[in-house]
Amino acid sequence: MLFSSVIFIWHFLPAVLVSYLAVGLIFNNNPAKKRNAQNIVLLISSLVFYGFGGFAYLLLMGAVLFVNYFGAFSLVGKGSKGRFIMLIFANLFILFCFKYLNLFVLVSENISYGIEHKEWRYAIRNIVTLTRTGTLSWVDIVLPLGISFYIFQSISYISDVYRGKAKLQESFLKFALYISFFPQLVAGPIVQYSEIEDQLDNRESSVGLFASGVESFVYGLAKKVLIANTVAKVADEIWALKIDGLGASITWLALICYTMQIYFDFSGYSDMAIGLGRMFGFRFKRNFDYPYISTSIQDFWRRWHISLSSWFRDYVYIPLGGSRCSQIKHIRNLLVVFLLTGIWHGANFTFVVWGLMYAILLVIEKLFLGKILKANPVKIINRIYSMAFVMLGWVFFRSDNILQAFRFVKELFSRGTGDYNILSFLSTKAILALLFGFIFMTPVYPLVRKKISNLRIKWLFRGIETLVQIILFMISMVMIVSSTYNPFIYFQF
Amino acid sequence: MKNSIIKTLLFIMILFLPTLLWIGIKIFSSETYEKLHYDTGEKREFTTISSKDNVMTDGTIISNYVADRAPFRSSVISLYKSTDQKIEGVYQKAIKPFLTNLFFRKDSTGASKEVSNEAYDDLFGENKGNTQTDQGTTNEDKTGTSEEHNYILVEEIESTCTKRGVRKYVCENCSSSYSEEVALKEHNFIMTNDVTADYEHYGHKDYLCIDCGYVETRDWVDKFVDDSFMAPSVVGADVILGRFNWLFYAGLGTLDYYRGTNVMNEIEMEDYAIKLQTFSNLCKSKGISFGVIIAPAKEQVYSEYMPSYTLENTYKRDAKLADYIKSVTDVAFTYPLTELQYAGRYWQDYSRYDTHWNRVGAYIGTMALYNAMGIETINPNTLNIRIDEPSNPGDLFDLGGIDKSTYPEDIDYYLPYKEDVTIGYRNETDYMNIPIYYSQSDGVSINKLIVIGDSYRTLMIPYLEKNFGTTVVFHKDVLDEAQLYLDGTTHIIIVAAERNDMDVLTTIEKMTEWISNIGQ
Repeated sequence: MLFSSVIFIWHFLPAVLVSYLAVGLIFNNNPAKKRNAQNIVLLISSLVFYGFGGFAYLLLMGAVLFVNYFGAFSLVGKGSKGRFIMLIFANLFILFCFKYLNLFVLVSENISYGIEHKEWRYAIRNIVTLTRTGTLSWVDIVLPLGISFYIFQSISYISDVYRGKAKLQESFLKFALYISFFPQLVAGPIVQYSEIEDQLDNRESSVGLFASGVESFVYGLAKKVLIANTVAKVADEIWALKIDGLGASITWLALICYTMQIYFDFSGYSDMAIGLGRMFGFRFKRNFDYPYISTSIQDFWRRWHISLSSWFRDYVYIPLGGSRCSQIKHIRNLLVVFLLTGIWHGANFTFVVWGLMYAILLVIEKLFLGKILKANPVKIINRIYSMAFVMLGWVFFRSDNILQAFRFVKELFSRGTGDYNILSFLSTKAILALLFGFIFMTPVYPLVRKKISNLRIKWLFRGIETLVQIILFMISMVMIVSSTYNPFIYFQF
Repeated sequence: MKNSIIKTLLFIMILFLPTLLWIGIKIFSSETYEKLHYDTGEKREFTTISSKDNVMTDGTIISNYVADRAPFRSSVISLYKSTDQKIEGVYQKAIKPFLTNLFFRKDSTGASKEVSNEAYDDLFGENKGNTQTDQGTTNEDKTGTSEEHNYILVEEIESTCTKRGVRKYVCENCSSSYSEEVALKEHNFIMTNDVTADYEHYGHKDYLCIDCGYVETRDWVDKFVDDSFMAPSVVGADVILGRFNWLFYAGLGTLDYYRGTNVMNEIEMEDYAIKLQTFSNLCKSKGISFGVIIAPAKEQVYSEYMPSYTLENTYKRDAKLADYIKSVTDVAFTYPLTELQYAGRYWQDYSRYDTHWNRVGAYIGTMALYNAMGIETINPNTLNIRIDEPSNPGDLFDLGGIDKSTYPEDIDYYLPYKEDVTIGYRNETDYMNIPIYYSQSDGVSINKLIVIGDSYRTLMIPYLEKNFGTTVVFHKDVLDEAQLYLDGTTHIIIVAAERNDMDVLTTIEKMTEWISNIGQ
């Protein structure tokens, strides 16, 4: 179930809000019972939300909940290090089976083919293009929705309990709610247990918080539906064509659109998740902080998918020694973290290359480039440098395989315009989406807001802001309903 | 705080009100509900949930069910479509052409076309109609004695432009007489129509004989060709916006055929030819005549309306294949590209807004196939072809998501082919939309025709069924059913659009065993 769907906005969310409010009113005189009842409502809603994708996935999540809930009890007391490692391994094993086993089978098949037939070029090409030989009768495992997120949250829980950063959660209900909470279940942000521990028991709802949740949700929805979906159409159309001969202008258009798509899609979804959390009294940390104005790659990773980079920092980088070790080890730690960051995104070598690129850049910045960038007074150069590599990284992120990525990069710097008219990929909506996208990729809006909040006309601004938000919500709903238009196209073959 | 309350209330309102209003309207005013819940042109059944659907494994069906019944869905979609058309219309009609001319206009050659009349004339004979070339004949009845005759003219019936006159001579000396026919008189032409050539029409002059009513068209001037650079523009699901409002299809690899990037090599053509010849020989051994027609794609016939694509080869795949098959086999295989191009000077033979040929195109294709198979052909110029409603639905509008109201009407024709032959029985009058069409004509012959093909087969039906006692036409997707109809077959025809040229081999591969079993 997507947040940007008719069923979520006009059926699921109203039902959850009504239920949440109803139990709150029923148990209004007993705060503990009220909180418990509300948590039950949220848990049931979350399980329904997740089970919508298939009952089997609920069973898988149930298994993860079971293993981690009961496993955490064994972390209290002596000799728990071994049990901690086993639990971590169990979580990673589940993730490996569902996310990476298909790739493992593919690589194994091709390696054995290479050994048997001595056709290593063929085998390597197959590995790089993710082509199976089919020698093993293996049916690909379907990746369960959100598994990367809730496994990481499970690891966060058991790590925080093991290290004493958080108390053991004795209530299975509260633990299950933390893992399965629907706003952040499928696309984050990854919430560390220690950040939410207290909110499971003590959180205050208010009209102000609810309204701020509405604002975040509406802006997130508009980012996704009005900007991301629109530029995605352009990017997808171009990426579906044969890359060779497309021409530089068309490929740059595709890359710009994809750069915008991934930011507005992901940050939009995060904003919606944060907004939904607020409607129920939860305060999640922001997940994006205008990453495209970064002045270095290090700065980029402080602004992009903050919850993920924080997770890796807290549970991988720091335990490995972080920066408080020899330079060699520090470099090793950076390489490990970003390799894992790349792999986390998907079972494809393109993500490995993507992660590795950032690892190498960060190492270079750590060694000498960072100081140069910091000292450079012309920050626009820093921003161009950052954006150039970020966009280069997106080519690998988007491409189906490494060969396609390299061909795309080659086409970015080709001469000639190819056979296509760049204007035929654009439309009024696409141009408007690009225009607004460029504006809202920058912190123009919060700066304007901050300036006006000190003025006497701030009440007028707030009124206009509310009106704009409601209009954006209505336009987004029109777009969502219109996207259900699915005509039978009569075409004889 | 006030702001927060207003924001919250408005949000709750948008969340709850539409659904509540919609349910209320449905319960309390079914008339209003029917007015608001109308077909927005989707032409499909709304999603239903049946007991067979396993909603436990995938909630998509529930999602689709709910989406199809969203409150005020029809109104919202209509509003969106009309607004979108206006917004995008500005871009397509004003901004894009302006920017294209500003940044992309080049002086390179665009589409060009050489139209030869050779193949057309081979098919229908020299295209001169009822021309006045005969000189008359002599009918001698010279009886009587052998002495020198002294013939005098006794009777003369003057010629007209349609009937030869007669001069009767009688010998003064004996009863010998003879008659001679007089040559037809020259038509008394007046020019009735002078069509100036432009980008969409050939120039020509029409002449009417005021004595007999015969109409002749001559003084042809070729269409102008817009050879300015026009960058390709693809909209919707692979629809190319061509010159002068023509639409073409870019999907399913058709552009590879157009650009000549998929020409077969010798080995591939040889393989194709061998399979065809083998099947043809098998059919012959069973007394069955076999023919194949590859229907050229619209963009090949009307390349002058395509945008400027770079052509890797001008001698393209199916033209080369057809020439090869003709040179090494005796299979009746036709790819009537030049015939269709030439016929285009008289009639538009493909639909402007559909991927298919129209009735004229289907006729020319059928006649070309008949010519290859040794079946009688009729020159279309001798039929009284008249303009008619388009036969094709304009599938490219739907595929491209294009508003058809902004495009001029398409043109099609009715061809009164063998109107003296009646079809005594047909299983379905709407032959355009059924997978198996069966008909029997009255008193033609005992021949039985089986046709297997794709969508190009349908418009050929009126010109096929009138030459056979029984005609059964199958869509290639129901090929397996053809096995049941093979008894008594005398002719088999395979029809394939250019992009489906390999389907011919798939079809004959399947049919080989069935044909082999005939008579066993």
